[in-house]
Formats: sequence, structure tokens, C-alpha cells
Amino acid sequence: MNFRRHWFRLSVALLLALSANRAEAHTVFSTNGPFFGGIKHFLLSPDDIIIAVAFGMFATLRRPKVTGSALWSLPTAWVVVGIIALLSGAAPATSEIPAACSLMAAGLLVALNLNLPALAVIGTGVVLGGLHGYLNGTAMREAGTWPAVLQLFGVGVSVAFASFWALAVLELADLAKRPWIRIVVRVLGSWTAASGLLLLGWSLRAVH
Amino acid sequence: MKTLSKSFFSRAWIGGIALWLASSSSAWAHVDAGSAGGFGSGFKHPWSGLDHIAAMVAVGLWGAQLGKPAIWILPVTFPMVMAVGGFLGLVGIGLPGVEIGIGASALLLGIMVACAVKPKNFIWPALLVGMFGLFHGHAHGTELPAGENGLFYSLGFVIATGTLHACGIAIGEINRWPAGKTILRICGAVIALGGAFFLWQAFQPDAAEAAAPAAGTFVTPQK
Repeated sequence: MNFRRHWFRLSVALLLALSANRAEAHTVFSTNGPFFGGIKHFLLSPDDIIIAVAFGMFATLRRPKVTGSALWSLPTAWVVVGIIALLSGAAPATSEIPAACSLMAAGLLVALNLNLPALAVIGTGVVLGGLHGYLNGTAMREAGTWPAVLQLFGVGVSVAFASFWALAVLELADLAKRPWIRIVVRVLGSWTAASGLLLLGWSLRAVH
Repeated sequence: MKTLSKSFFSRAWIGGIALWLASSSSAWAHVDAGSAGGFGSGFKHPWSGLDHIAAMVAVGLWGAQLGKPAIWILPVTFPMVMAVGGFLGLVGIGLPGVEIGIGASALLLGIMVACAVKPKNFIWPALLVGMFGLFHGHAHGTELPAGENGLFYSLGFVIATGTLHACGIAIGEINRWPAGKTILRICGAVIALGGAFFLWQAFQPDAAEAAAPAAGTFVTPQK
């Protein structure tokens, strides 16, 4: 898809998707049911947002060898494992250690700019998505099964959107013409990994 | 006057955004409330001591003097190793002479900038910067207040550090002009002098340190 030609349509599509029903200032998500509740949950979780964007950037750095379709592994695994975790009745995670480790992993993947093949990229998406799907799925138990499933779909759609948005931004920036952008992305990846390490230390301290 | 190359504009953009971020004090309006309190606290922490600011800006300045690839390797190395130091501080693993290390880092980095030291490769600058990042990070890790939201704190902390480096790089852009080169070296000398002061402060006996809590806060009043 030629992003330069279609960016305007993509933006309009986003606006339309988010403005379902009346655009009431602060009740866009709270009164529109669990699906939009899932979108809201995603938008209020910085670690989920960072993971989705980081994975999107990681996969895009590997283009054209790895196609954009590899990005679908993240939201798919997120939703599937989330539903499984929800139905299994597992207790929600009490510490931030898994989230911290995934932040570090995602940050390092971007920072190191490893030349991984397509299968490895897809596998990474499955692992990251599966982990966060598990965390989300177990946390959404109290909402009831069907509302929680809808919430997970809301999260999944948001994750897909965020990671494809990252791909679109990088494609628009044209890495071939401006190689310094790759460096900026890798620097941001290193900062993400650094934040994950700090969060890990904080979680371990909290455990004591 | 030399023609401004494309890389100047891209660095100017990044530096400008960093300076803008750093000056948006009105954004503190509601940042300390609730879970977002962690981000404000984390973001403010690297700015809380002149010694931290001096060393982190010096990293950006030195990177700008050294050019590629140091200009981005140093601001990557410092936050990463700082996170390792912070991790050690958070889990309670002690590091001897942290305040001395912080003072020495400002002094040495200031000297590097003042003398425009240009090593043949970037390995030992990265090692030097990384070593100091360990001390700075450890200081931040042990100073983390209880009850803060860990993720927000970590993000704010790393973003603030990166912003300081970017400010240093933006200022370092004046290196491309002869007058700018001299000004940069003077800045380095000032930082080195400050570092010498912080180092001296770190060696003072504990009674004096109780009166002046942390190195570098002699200008900014404590909350």
C-alpha cells in the first residue's frame, strides 16, 4: 500500500472509528460498551502502547525482507491467548515483572536492529502478544466472560492499529532516504529497554 | 559561514524539540496527582541536582564534538548503563563512593569537552561515559520514593535523561563554527569547575553533608 498516497484516508478512517455515536467530550468510551472499553483500556496502558509501537517499529526496520503482514502476529496472539487466559480462570498477575521483561525485550529488539528472518519476527510477535494477552485476559475476569471477550477484541484492534500506525509513520519517513531516522528509532528502543530495566528493579524492590 | 547541511537541520529539530520539552513547566499542572505522579517525579529527578544536569549535558556536548558515531552512541550508552545502576540501587546492591563518582564524572567529562579530546575510536569514551552512568543511575535508584508508580517513574526518568543529552547535542551544534568551538570548550571548563566543586563536596564529612543534602543542590532549594 502506498502510504504517502493514502495517509489522509487512513487518518480519516481512524477519526471515524473513534467517533462512533455522539462525540460526547468525556464519555466516548464509558457508555459505549465493552468493545470501546477495551480500546480505552489500551489507551490508558502505557506499557501496552509502547509494546505495540515498539513491535511495529521493529518489524518495519526489517522491511522489505519482512512484510507488513508479520505485524498481525502481535494482536492475534494477544486476543487468542487473552481469551484462553480469561476462560482458564487464572489469577491476575500481582507484580510488574513480566511487563518489565517484555519492555526490555521489545526495546532491545529495536535497539540492536538484529537482522532476523520473517519467522523470527512473527515468533517475537506471538511471544510478546501472548504475554500481554495473558496479563490483560486475567485482569479482565471480573467484567464477565462475554464483556471481557469484547474488551479483548477492543484491545486487539487498538494494538493492531498502533503497530500499523508505527509502520506507516516509519514508511512515510522513508528510511532509505533518511538513514538517521533508523538511528533515532534505535535510540528510542534503547530508552525503552532502559525503562524496562528500571521497572524490573522497581518491581523486585516492591516484592521485598 | 559554512553551508548548513541536512544533518544540521535534523539535529536542530531534535534539539529544539528537546529544549521545548524541557521548558514546558506548565505541563506540571496535574502531573503530580495519582498514578501520573510517578512520571512527574521520575522526569524531575535528573533535573534535581546540578551535578546530574552538568554531567548529562556534558555527554551531549562531547558527543557533538566527536561527531558520528559517538553523537548517538554516547546518549544511548549513558541511559542504558544508568538503568543498570538504577537497577542495582533499587534492588539494594550497594555501590561504593557514589557521590564521588558523580562529582568525578562531571569533572572528567567537563575536561574532555574543554580540551576537545578526540579519541581514535568511540570505545573508551563509551566505557568512560558508561562507568559514570552507573554511578548516576545508582544514585537515582536509591533515591526513588516509595509508592511511586514504577512504570511512569522509569519512563519519566529515562525521557528526562535523554532530553538532557539532546539539549547537550543541540548546544553542541555550535561546534561547526570556530567561535562556537571556543564557546563549547569554555562550557566544558565551567562544567569541569562545577565537577571539581561537587567532588570536593562529596569528600566533606557527613555533618556538612547533612546540612547540604546532595551534591549540586546548593543553588536549587530542596522541596
